[in-house]
Formats: sequence, structure tokens, C-alpha cells
Amino acid sequence: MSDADYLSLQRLTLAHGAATVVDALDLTVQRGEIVALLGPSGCGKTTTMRAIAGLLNPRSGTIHLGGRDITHIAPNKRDIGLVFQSYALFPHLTVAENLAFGLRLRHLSAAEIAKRVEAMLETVDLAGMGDRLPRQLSGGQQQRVALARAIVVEPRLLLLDEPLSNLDASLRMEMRGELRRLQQTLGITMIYVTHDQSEALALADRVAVMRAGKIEQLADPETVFDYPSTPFIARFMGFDAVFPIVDDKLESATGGQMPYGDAGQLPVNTKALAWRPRNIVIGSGPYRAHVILASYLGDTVEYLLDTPLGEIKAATDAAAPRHPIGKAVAFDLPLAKAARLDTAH
Amino acid sequence: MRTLGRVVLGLIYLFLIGPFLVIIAAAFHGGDTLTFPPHNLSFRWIIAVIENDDFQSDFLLSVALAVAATFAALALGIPAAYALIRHRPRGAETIRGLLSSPVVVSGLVIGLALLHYVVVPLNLPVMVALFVAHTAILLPYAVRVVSASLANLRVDIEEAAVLLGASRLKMFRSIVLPNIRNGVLAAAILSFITSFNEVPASLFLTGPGVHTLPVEMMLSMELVYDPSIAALSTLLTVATLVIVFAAERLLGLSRYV
Repeated sequence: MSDADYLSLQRLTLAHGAATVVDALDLTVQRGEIVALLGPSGCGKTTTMRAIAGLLNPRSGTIHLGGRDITHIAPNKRDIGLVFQSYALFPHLTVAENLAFGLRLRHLSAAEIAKRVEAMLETVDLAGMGDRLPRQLSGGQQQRVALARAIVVEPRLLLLDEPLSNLDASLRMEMRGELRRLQQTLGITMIYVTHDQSEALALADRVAVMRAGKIEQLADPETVFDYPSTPFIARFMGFDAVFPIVDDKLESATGGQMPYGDAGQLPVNTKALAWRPRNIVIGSGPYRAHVILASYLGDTVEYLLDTPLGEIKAATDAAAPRHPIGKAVAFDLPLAKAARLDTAH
Repeated sequence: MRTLGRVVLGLIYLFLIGPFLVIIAAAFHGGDTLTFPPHNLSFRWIIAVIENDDFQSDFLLSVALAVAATFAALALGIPAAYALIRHRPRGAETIRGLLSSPVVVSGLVIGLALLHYVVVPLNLPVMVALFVAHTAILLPYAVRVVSASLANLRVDIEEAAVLLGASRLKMFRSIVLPNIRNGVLAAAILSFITSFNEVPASLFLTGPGVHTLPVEMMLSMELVYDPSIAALSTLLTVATLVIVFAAERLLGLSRYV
């Protein structure tokens, strides 16, 4: 563990009863960084977060925060904040009392508490709302109270569990910007748990894509988006067409095969190639397909092609000439636009 | 059909409420024997029971017993309910079943069992014996009613409080208790009324000179046949109705029971 590692999980193994949910996970987070734990439900991201908070005892492995082993420290002594998906506001306390709860436990003077609560309400745009009860607030406002309550005690680490998933789309975008701004002004170290890849890409400094209790790729958002390392991540990032390479041929899950001319240029450790619909060329190229379906999506037209590799989604600019349904078209899978995957599974 | 339905409904109500009406009416009879329908209406017997020294001391004893047993049942029942709901220990269902057995088992059996195996061997004083018996009888009510309101309380607010730095005990006092306050009050009222009206178990455990009010009423009925028992019953019924009605309006008692 280097000095720069602020939070460090080492071979962390977590289980619910007999089922291992997280398997020997390693992760380090730098001070002031936002790391997103991204993955589908059941991948172990929330379990990992709960273990960091101390709400769950690891079966094995260690958790260090700021150079100290906190694996066996009680959750109320860890000084780690958590913003719950459900907000978990105290229903019998006003907004101001919700914020003051953690400050009171830190034995600050009443004047100091009032000052900090006021300032924090200002920061999250809820000035004047201190006397309301949580149920008198909208979802977005409750969300901000939950965030403010966790931040006002200045925790050493802030965990966020899908904090925006209960908000509608426009509010979600707004809060996403808000969160990023807050994090940059306050310099809080954050772990952000989500299943929404656009949220993870927009917010995080690094994204850890999780699957079945392991981190499959840990990289900055651009790398994860453009250079996914496995078929699972590629699909998650919108590379719908994923084909393993065997003997210079592309193979599909349905058993189809197609000789791939550029395969000779590939390094041996490339085991599969993946394309986004936008990166597949229609109308020219060495391969033949039939158009099964064409859907107009505004900016683009998406075609479903029947190819030797099975059905493939491809998209063109809406302004490009249309390809009629039922007709044969030429298409290309350009190597330059492909994601090169190190595993075929 | 509708007329027939109404007649049946009316008969059922009459069956349920009729005895009360008879008793209440008899309480205002002016004569010396229990009579229905009453003639020459008077408050004579109502005033007599209020001024009766025996009834007064038994009333105070019953109130003291009910208060003490209610506190004891809540002190045991709230933590028990919390443990059953939150920690779901192995055999939680069995424990729940055992806890509710005093509801199912007749008070006579509880009274006899306590007398035979606890009170006599340990030579417990009458008041202690009554206190133990009533606490045991009230405990299932306390656990059930408190469990119902705990089940509606989200776990994540408890976790949020702990992560903000609260110890388990501090979290319980400042987050859990305020949010189950109505359930606890409902449990307290229900327990108090149950204890106050308890006869079968108390019958075995009361000793010479120490009677709870309902036991005293039953015993005196065997000796005296005047309207004082009807008058006392009327007073107690009215008091119980007032408490239950107030509790229903303020707390929604029926949500928990």
C-alpha cells in the first residue's frame, strides 16, 4: 500500500450466509477522488459499499482508510458518510434537526451547530427550509437534505448508493452537476455506487466496472467507454456487436462464422472485437447482409441486419440515404473503430 | 333481504350491547336489590360505591398494579419486539408463539400454574405474585403491538444514525423510540386496561385482605345482591370507553391491535 492510497480494500471477501457476494476484491482510492462502482444489480457493488461503511462484516480481507486499518472498527466510529438510495431521513425531525444530528454527536456548541447547518442548507440550495419535516419536501429536496446531512459532519469518506435513481430524468441531470460541483469545492473523497453507466462516466474520476463480485475493469471514464476490456463491459458500454476471433474468423454466439480480413493485423492477445451500432458501416464494404428492420431514432436510423453472424444492429446518420427493408446491402466492420477485448467471455 | 339483514344486524348488536344496557340501567335503580327495569331512578348507588372505603382501596391497588405491570411489560416487551423484528434470531417464530401463549392459555391456568410452581415454592408476597402474573399476561400484548409499529419503521434510518456517529443505544433512544411512540402508547393503554380488568389469574393469587377491584366485585356479588356492583361496573365501563375512545382518536389504536 503506497502513501497515496487513501482508501484501500485488500482481498475483501463478503458473503451473505453461504453465498459469496464479493470475492477477494482489491481497490484503492486516492484522497479527493470519486470512484464509481458500476454494475448490474447483484454484482456486489452495494455490498462492497456497506462493508466499507461497516454495516457488514467481511468474511476476510482488510479495509484501510487514511493509513489505519478500520476492518474491525464499529460503523459509528469510522467517520464515513453514506447517502442512501431511499434518503433515510429521520421522519420525526425537521430538516435542520436532521442535519444537526451528527453535529450534536460531535459535541459542538449550539451556536456552532446552528451556523454549520445554516451554511450547509445554503450550499444545497435549501435555505429557509430548515423548519420543514422531510415528508413536506419534494423528492429532489429530500435528496439534497440526505446529501447535506452526510456532508455537514465532514466525513473522511462519502459513500453514495444510487443517490439519484429515485429522481426523474431532468432532476437527475441537474443533481449530477450539483454533486460534481460540491465534490470539487469541498474536495470530498467519494465512492459512488450506480448501475447507470452515463452517471458513472459523468461523475467519476475512475470507474470500477463490477460483475459477479469482482472488478472487471478499473480505469478512467474515457478508457472504459472507448476501450472496454471484456465482452461484458463492452455490451454495458453500448458495443452491441461482440464477436470472438477464432482462426482469423469472427464467430457469433449463434454459431455463425465470417472470415475477417483484418484479423492478421491483430496482436495475439486480442480475443474478441466489438462495435457500437454507429461504428458499423452500411452501404459499402466486403460483407453482405439483408435489412430486416429500420427504425428512425431522430438523429440516427437504426437498422437490424441479417448477417452470417446473426442479427446485428447498425446505425447511420438520419441524413444518409436510406436502405429499404428486405434488400441486400454491403456492410463493413472497420477494425479502426472496434474495441479490442482481451477475453472472449 | 335488506330488511332481514338489518333485523339480524340489530339482533347481533342487541346481543353484544344488551347486557351493558341492563347493567347501566340497573345502576340507577333507587331500591335495595338489583332490579331491571329500574324504578325510582337515583344516583344513590353510584355515590355509595364511590364513597365505599373497600372499593376505594381496591381501586387504588388495581391502578397501582396495572401501572407497575404495564411498565414492566413494556420494559421487557419493547426490547423483545426489537430483537424479534430486527435481528430475526433463529426460532423467532417459535419465540413469537411462546410469547403469545398467555393470550391463548386461559388465565385460570396461568394463575394456577404460577401459584403452584412459583408463588408457593418461593413464598412470594401477594402483591409480588400479582405483579409477576400480570406482567406475564401483558407481555404478549406489548410485544405484538410494539412489533407492529416497529415493522413499519425503515431499517435504513437506523443505519443512517449509526453512520452519523450514534451508538446503538443512542440511536434507539433518539431514532427508534420517537418513531414508535404511538405504538408504545397504544401498547401501554391496552396493557393497562387488560391488567385492570383481569380476573381469572388474579383470583388464584389474591390473598386475605388484598383484592384487585374486579376480584373484589366478583366476591362481593356472592354475598350482597344490591345495585352497587351494577353502579361500579357502569363507572368502570364508562372509564374504559373514554380511554379507548381517546386512544383511538389520538393514536388510531385499532391499527395496532
